[in-house]
This record gives sequence, C-alpha cells and structure tokens, in this order.
Amino acid sequence: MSAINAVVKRILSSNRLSFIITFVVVLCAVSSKDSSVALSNGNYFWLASLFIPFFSVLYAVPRLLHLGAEKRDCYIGSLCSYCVIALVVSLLNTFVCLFIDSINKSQTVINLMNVCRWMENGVIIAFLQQAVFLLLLLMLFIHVMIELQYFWFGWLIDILLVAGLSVSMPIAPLRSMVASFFSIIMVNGNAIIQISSCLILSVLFAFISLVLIKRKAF
Amino acid sequence: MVEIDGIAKCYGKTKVFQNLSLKIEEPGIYCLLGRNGAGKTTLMKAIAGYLDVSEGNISIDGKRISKASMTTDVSYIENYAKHFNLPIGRLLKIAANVNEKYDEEAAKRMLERFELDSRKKYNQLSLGMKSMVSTIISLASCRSVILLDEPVLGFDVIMREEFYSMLEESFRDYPRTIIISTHIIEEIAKAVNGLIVLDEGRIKFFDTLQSVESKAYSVSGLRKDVEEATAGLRKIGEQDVGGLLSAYIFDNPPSPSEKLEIRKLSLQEFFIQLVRHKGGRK
Repeated sequence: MSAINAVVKRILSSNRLSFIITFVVVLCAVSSKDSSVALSNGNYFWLASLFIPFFSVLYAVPRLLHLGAEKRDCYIGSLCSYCVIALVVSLLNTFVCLFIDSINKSQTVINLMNVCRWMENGVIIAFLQQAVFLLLLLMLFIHVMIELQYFWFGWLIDILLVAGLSVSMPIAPLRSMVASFFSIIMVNGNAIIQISSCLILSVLFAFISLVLIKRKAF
Repeated sequence: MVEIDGIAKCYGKTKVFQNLSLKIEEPGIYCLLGRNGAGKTTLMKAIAGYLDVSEGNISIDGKRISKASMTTDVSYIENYAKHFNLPIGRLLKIAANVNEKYDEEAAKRMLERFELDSRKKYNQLSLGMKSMVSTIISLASCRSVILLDEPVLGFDVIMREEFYSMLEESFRDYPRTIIISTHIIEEIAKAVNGLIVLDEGRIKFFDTLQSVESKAYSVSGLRKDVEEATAGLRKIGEQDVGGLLSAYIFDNPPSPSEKLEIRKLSLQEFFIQLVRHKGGRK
C-alpha cells in the first residue's frame, strides 16, 4: 500500500505544471469581465483533469518504473490519483458554484453543474455526479486514448472516432444517438442513472487500460 | 533461478534470436558479452518483461515473465534511463518509497562512495554520473535478478574500479543473480563469476570464468604439429600465418612440447575467437 501511496504522490507532484496552467487560466477568467454571460470560474478547474492523464502516462509512469516501481502499483496509483483529482476538482467547482458564482452580479454566470442539472439533486449528490463524470470522461478516457497511441490500432481508433463523430453530426438519427449518450453520462438530472452509467464506463475504461498496460513495451 | 526456454524474437523479418535457452541456477555475477547487435539488450529486456518473445518462455523463480507481468522480482536498468529531474537524494528516496525491498542505507553508502552530490539535480549530471545513479537504484533495489545494460558507459577508469568493487560488495550483502552487459571485457573479469556469450542469436558460451582461465588456450606451431596436438580437442578458432598455425581451444591443453607454443588465452582473446566471423561465416 505504501508503494501505491508513493506512486500517487509522485504522479500528483509531477503535475505541478498542469496545476500552474489551470491556476493561470482561472486567474485570467477571474480578471476578464467584458461580456454579459460568463462561464463559471470553477469550471476552469476541469482543465487540471484534462492534463493529468498526459503527465501520468507520458511522464511519471515510465520514470517511476525506472525507479523500481511495479507495473501494478503504477496502474493502481494512476487510478487513485485520478480519483483524488476528480474529488478535489469537483469539490472546488461545487464550492465556486455555491459561494462564488452568486457574488458576480454584473454577469450571467453559467456553471456546468447547473447546465448538467446535477444541482437539482442537492449539493452532495451534485458533487458526486461531477466527480464520477470527471473521473470517467475526462481522465480515464484520456488515459486510455493516450495508452492506445503506443499501438498501431490506437491510430485506427483515433481515425474511427473522428470519422464517426464527423459523420454522425449531420445525420439526425445518429446525432440524436450521440446526444442521448451524453444526456445519460453528463446532462442528466437522474443521479442514479448518471452515476451508475459513469461508473460502469469507468470500470470498462480501467479494464481496457489494464489490458493495454499488459501489452505495452516500456 | 532464471530459466530461458527456447525463446525466439523477431522484429518483422529480422530474427534477433532463435531457440535460445539458458538456465542460471546459482546466484552470481554474470557477464553478458556479445558483439554489437548480438541481441544483448533485447535479451535483457525480455528477461525484465519489458518486451515479449515471439516463441518460448522465460521464468524467474518459477514465475513466467512477459509484458503482462504486473509484478516481477527483476530490476532492469538500461543506459540512458530517464529519471525525474530531481535532486539525487530525492530520487533515491522516491525509489525507496516505491519499492518495499529497497535498501536505502546501501544506496546512501554507494552515493557517498561515488562522491555524488545528493543535492544536484539529475539533468545536471554527466553521462557517467547518470549511469551511476541508475546503477545505484538498481543494486539497492534488492530484487532477485538485477540486469545492468552497459552500466559503465561514460565512467572514467576510477569510477569503473569503484563500480567493480561495489558490485562485489553488493553481491556479498545480497547474493542474487546479477547480469551485466559490457564491452570492457578484461576489467569486468575481476568482478564476475560467470560468462555468457551471445552470438548470432544464440548462446555460444555459458560457463564459469574459472573454466575459461583453465581451459582456454592457444596452441601455435607448424600446421602438422598443431593439428596433431589438438586433434579431438574443442577448437574455437584458428589462424594461419605464413605456414604457422595458431589453434584456439577450449579444452584441457595438450602436453607441452618443444614444437608447440602453448599459452593461456585472455578473456578478451577467448571472446574474440568465439565470435569472430569472416565474411559472415566463421
């Protein structure tokens, strides 16, 4: 367990740059008040969860392996660090949504927690809905996509994803399928369905990531 | 115990090795020798589970090793290993935290011995010092198999001497299987017990260093006399210069004779004779 803790700490420390970028973006957003409608400053914290899988897969894990960490500990450590970040980012945005957004009287503030109808379920459930969504979509999905790039089929999947989305957007039935997928995992006021679907997909992505790490040459 | 059973490795149509088998039963320091491109790094990476072999099995203490192994009792350090750009002391601390078997005290002792400044950041080090940090991390990992790929790369002669004696001390403290690949043959001979020679994708030689010292000879003289004296002995090479023949044998030496010059082969000469190829064929 202590080895996994050390891996988590190292992955998080290796992400100093992503935290700095996120902080700078939040600062820029705070100082920019030139439109009547603004995205909540708290939503910019989501950026951190976009960056972390990159630093974890491409930077921290290969170096941890050279320091003698086991693949198993790196895998579990990566998942744990995503959980920590998801909870922290969700907590920050929930705090901003509750206490900071209302202070801004000069602009109409849009927080994705409201847009996704998570706040309809109360603060704690909304916090959890956001956390599982961040953990699933933004971190595990990105993690898997980066791991895939080490294999020839990763590029094929990239092309298929881009082609699939491009083709489905102009075709109404396909577009509505994509929309309903996102309305289940993201824009969903039903917490049980949203959380359980996110968790199921999280487990699926975690499993794919395990398969990939077992096939990856370091 | 390291057991390699009939492995093959191909990169596209290029075969790095084929039907390669090796069984290391006793802990010891083994030197892996081979010409450039012989497959030393590929073999080490395969033993470490960093890459999969196309055929055959590799097992360590009965546990099969492949890329799918999530835990192994192997520490593999390649040259140019990438590390976090942190002070050396911090790097060693992280290594201790991520590996429960790690001997932090031994790592500190080695660090002091090489006069490495623990406050210096990794990227500020010279190539030799970087290799040394990687080697310290590997030796202090206390895993049952340590694989060092060209560990003395960039070392000056003093560092190399220190490294060889440190290797022996580390083995005395923790007897295990240490495999080192290097091209500096004569120097490593002081520190190793066993010799593995990899050539053209197969194990050409695997025995103790003592056996090389007691059985590797060159027998020179007139062709007729040399051929007569070495008949039935295991010849590893021969060289014909102006009617005089030098036969290189790995066997009990023939009886001394006035007509023959018999002398022991150095490890380097033995290796050269073993892997020398002329026009692609020996």
